[in-house]
Amino acid sequence: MANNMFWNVKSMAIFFLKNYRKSNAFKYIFSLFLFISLLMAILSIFFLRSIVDEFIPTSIKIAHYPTPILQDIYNFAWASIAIYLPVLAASFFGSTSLSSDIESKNIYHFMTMPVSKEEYLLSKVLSCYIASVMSVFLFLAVQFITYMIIFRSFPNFSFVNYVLVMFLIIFTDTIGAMAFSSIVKKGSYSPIGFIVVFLLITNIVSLLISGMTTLDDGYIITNAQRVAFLIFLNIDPYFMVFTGSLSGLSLNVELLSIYIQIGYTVVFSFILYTVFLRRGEIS
Amino acid sequence: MENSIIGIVGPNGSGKSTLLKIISGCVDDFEGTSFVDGISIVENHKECVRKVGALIENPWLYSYVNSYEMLEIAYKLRKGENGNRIEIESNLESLGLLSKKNVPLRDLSSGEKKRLSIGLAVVGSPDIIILDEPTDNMDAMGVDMFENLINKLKSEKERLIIITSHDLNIIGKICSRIIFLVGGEIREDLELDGHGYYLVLYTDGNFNPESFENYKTDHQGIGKIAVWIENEQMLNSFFNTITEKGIRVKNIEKITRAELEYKKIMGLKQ
Repeated sequence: MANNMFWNVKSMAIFFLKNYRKSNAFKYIFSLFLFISLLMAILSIFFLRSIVDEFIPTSIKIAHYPTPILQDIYNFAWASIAIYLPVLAASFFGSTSLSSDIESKNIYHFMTMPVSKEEYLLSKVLSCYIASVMSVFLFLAVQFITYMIIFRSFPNFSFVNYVLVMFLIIFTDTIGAMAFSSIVKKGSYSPIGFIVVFLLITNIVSLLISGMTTLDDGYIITNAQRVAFLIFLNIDPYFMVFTGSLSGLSLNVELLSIYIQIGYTVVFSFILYTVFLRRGEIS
Repeated sequence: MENSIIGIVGPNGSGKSTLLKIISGCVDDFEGTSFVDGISIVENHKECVRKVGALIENPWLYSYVNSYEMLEIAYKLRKGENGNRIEIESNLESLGLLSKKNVPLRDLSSGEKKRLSIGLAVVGSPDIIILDEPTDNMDAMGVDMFENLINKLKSEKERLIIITSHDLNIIGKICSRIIFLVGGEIREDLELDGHGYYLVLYTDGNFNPESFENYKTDHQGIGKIAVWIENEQMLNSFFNTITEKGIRVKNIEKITRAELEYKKIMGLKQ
């Protein structure tokens, strides 16, 4: 059977995933996400109402919150934690994926086989992405189950929307982490380095764009990472602070935020391609 | 395809590994051309690499997978199909790693890892096998196993094996041709005839070099001469000559032709 691209990419991705799955990094990140999600579950089941009370002025006494509002607040609370998990997972799996292979010379095992650099890179992206999704999925699963325990119903359609956008964000962050990995070459400080650079880039872009736009639109455009929970919650994340409004986002704004994620992905992919694939010698 | 074992030797930085990287397709940004069986490796990387199995540099290997999984991926990529369990296990056995097939690679010794890396390079029985420093970190048993493997590969089919090493003893033993590389250029290209070796005699200086006129010799300085020995008969005759001529020998050293030539080329003290 002649090697085709699909076979090579699939075989290598499964191999890299096996290595990730048995790695300490995976155990650490999995344990961390499990701990965070269980903590969130306990807080949600036992303290959701008391947490909401904290945001309400003491002069106002509310005997009973309407369930839809509690559901929105529940989703908001979980999303505000979930939003940081993709970048954390991507930094663990993606930011060392290329640099450690180059540093350890393991890349030569694949470059001396009938495999193109593109296939190798694609399989690395896939394996890092799947490892990150597996870790974040744990959190999403606990969120889903806890929701059903508290509200005795399935989350509404916006949960699916939220999960899909999370998968997109994980992909963006994975590509970003791998682009960083292809630049740094050394794996030791890659994870923390990536987080710092990633936050710097997104905030600089955020500032630049907000300077060119109106405040409201600028906020949405520039905070691509935060847009996720805007989409998911379908509410203004600052509703308690500023307006107390639970008004939803328009479809246009949701799409815009997705475009921004895709924009980041394209830029990171370009960096990854030019730095890694255009390298004459891998050493 | 040339059926021989070529040894490439030279000091650090002479370009041995770079040359092997070019031949094995790891580098595509270089001046000149590189062909495998008449096919340009830059233009048709996959087709060329399919014919070449290579161990380049000294990879650390992936820490958390085991040797079975590592060989399995090599089979999948080289053959384009799932690896046959019996074939993989037989390969592990010939590498002396069958008992450790489920052990994570981080728990293997450096010699065992090296053996596995060599095993990865020969998966799929390629026409050309390139081994960069294959005996580094190997103990005597590992080197012995390596020699057996090379003999097995040589007897399997007509193929070209290229080896770089600083171990001139092993190069001298297994190679039929040696290329001396210095500063990126070929300094000497030697065909090795037979499986002989040199015996270097250290004497008190009172001997006539013509005593060894029936032998291939290399004068190494006052009181020192290297005599080429090809077989046991020649060895016996050599010792008889020493006795007959009354040559007082202070020391005898056995070296390969590769070692002798390398020292000459590099201008090292002999």
